[in-house]
Amino acid sequence: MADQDEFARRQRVLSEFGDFVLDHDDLDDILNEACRLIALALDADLAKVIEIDRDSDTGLVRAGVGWRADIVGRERVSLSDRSSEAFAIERTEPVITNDIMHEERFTFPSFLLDHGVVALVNVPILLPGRIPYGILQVDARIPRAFDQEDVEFLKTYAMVLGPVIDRLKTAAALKETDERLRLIVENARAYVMVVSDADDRITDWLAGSEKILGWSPAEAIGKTTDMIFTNEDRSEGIPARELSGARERGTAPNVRWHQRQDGTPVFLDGQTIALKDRAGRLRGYLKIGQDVTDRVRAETALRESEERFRQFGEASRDILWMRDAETLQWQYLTPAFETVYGLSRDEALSGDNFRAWLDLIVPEDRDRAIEAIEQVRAGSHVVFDYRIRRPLDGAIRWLRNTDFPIADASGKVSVIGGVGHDLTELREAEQRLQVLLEGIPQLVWRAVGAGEWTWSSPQWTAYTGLSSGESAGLGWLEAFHPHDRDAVRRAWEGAHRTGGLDVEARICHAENRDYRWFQTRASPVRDAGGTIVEWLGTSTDIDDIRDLQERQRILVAELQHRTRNLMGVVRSMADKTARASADLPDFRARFRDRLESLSRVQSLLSRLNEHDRVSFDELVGAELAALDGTADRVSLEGPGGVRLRSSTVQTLAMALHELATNAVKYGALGQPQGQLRIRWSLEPNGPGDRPWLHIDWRERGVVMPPAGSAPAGGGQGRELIERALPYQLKARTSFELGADGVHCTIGLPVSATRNAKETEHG
Amino acid sequence: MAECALSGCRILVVEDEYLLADELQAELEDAGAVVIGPVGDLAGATALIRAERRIDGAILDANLTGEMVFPAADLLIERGIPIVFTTGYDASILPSRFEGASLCEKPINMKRIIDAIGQALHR
Repeated sequence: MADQDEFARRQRVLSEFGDFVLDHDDLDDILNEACRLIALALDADLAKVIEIDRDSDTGLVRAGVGWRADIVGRERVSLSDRSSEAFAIERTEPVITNDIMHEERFTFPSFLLDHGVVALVNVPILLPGRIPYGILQVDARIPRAFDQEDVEFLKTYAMVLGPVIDRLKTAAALKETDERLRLIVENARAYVMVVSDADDRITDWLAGSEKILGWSPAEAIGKTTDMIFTNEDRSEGIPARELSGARERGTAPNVRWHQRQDGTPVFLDGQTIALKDRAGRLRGYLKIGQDVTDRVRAETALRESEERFRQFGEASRDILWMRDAETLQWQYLTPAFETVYGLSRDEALSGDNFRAWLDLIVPEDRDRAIEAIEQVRAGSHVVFDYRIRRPLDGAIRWLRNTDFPIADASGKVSVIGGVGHDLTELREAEQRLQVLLEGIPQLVWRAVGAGEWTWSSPQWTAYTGLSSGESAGLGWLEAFHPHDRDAVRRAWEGAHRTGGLDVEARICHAENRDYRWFQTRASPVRDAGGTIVEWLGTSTDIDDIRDLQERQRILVAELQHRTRNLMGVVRSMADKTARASADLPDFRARFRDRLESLSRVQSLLSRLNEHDRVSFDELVGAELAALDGTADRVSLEGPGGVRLRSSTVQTLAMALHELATNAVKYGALGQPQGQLRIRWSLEPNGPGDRPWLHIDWRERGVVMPPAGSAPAGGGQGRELIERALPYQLKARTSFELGADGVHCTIGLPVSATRNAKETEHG
Repeated sequence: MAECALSGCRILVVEDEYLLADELQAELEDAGAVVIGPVGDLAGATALIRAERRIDGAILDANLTGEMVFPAADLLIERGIPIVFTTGYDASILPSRFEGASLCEKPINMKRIIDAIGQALHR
């Protein structure tokens, strides 16, 4: 059979296969084509390639031609001792069976027999390095003798096939690896993946590197990896230390803040891996890191928030606590608790601490506290005040709790939060203020708007009889005098403008229905923005002061009036004295005498209180006392305490003085035989229905000057009695010069009152 | 001059202090005036005003032993008679209706009051 045509045909088959291999890279296509061509070349119906599967010790029919559809890719042959394939592989030589019927060495798989195979040749396919890959098998349905040329051709063919298979297998494996790597790198967007060479020059800028760090691959490649470290880390030599760590130990952790191209920080969590070849030579570095900036930030923020909260809690003078809403046990309690309760937190938290807390509360307030906690449990915010008794010293402390529910994700109240504020000092200050407010004599009140009262002190109620409720709003106006109400309302209308209220008005005293003057004042209380939020006011009794002021005003005016009149009198007296005087020494004596009399009267008058009166006996006593050593010549007869009207005292005194002076100079007191009798009486119902005083001045035993001579003393005493007293005092007078002395009578109205003590309201 | 000015004028004097009234009377008469009064109380003064048909001017002490002279002043003003008040108080004691009237504060300067009544008469 080995003729020239046959040889040429086989050569053609080989070159055709070579062409096919160049154009195709699918192993199965190539193996199937190989089977087709080999069958053609050897003029056989069937051919196949069996691939060794060492794991199962079988051979898979990987490719073939002429077989039923269910054989290729599915059927397996045993590689046991009795198989011709195993034999061929072991011998690494072709094995020929020319007639199965007579073959004693091997047993054959049933599908061969089913296909009517009677002769076959197995040629091992070896990969480079003589590694067995499988068997190329040619099967014939008629007995035939495969000759040496056939076998040689098959060997050649199998030798061509080995490297082809090897190339394709390697390429396929590489391709798969590349594809996997590409997918990994492309999908690892959350990772920075940087490859650098042995000098740490960046060669690959992969995965999320650009997105996370900002630099594009073109910008990054060629630079050293330390550019992604923070300035601080660079200056501390962290990048180099990390690389050396990777060189020594294979990998070095890289978990730290880095910085982006724009300088912003980014937290990478990863490692740096030293890339070494099989010989252990450093080829470069791979830096892989995940961007966990958000997580780190969130964790940092949470940690800081927790820390801040903890510091708040530690520093707070208020007690902060949390209770389990179910068991009501404390989960959290700040140090302020110890200060306020005088109890360590360890003690407070031990045992059933809700029960223990309730026991610290004074019994009267306990139900209120339980009630409040129940309300919080039901979802409400609650503010409540209560007192505790400190076990340490038994002291009572006032607390105000602001408690609130904290719901879990499902909306159920799982925790009760609370803030406890110590009100004790505030309460004590309030109490002191209250005592002060209720202790001062002023009527105190609070108001809003244009005088709408919101509170009034017990003093107000005690004085006016109006309760705090009755006085609220504008109810207080009832206590004010009807004539003063408009003035008070007007004062309130102006109060907002002037920033103060100050008005004097009369307020009725509840018991005696008497109105007394009060000064009502109020000052605004402003909030931080300067807006008036309320008014604090007082009403002070100024009735007595007003009375005194009025009296003083009258007294000052009266004093002025009297003084000015007195000056006029003095001047007039000087004129008259001058006219009657012989010379200057005479004038001096007379004038001084009269002036002294006038000042005696003034001193009598000035000693008096408003309602006092000078009595006649006082007046006459003072005048006679000025005449030394004459008392035994004078007899006084009359009632004491006859009260003279103040306006009459001065003129009457001047008249008496003139009478006395004349008596000393020319009359009863100047002559050895002379006697003076002064008698007076009070007529209770005299003319004009007034009490009258009647004075009788009689001198006796006086040697009178001859009739017709000039009146002694210039007649001033007589003028006073006959003209001044009637003119000024409505007096009725008589004056006559009797044979043995002067007889003078004076009747004048006197004060209707008798006794200074009875005249307070006169 | 003042003496000539008051010559023959009938001047009412109301003054409760005898000595001052007496002095005023003397001065006015020295100045040629005819003095009506003097009178020391309000009732006397009003009676006199009603009785006298001719009064040319009046010198009135504002305070007559605690009584104010103003009702008498009103009568005079009704008749258009010029008034000079004398008082030991401040000017403020005069009700506003007497704003135009002259006022001499005590102690009285006699010359001044004579001048004042002279001016009031010739206004």
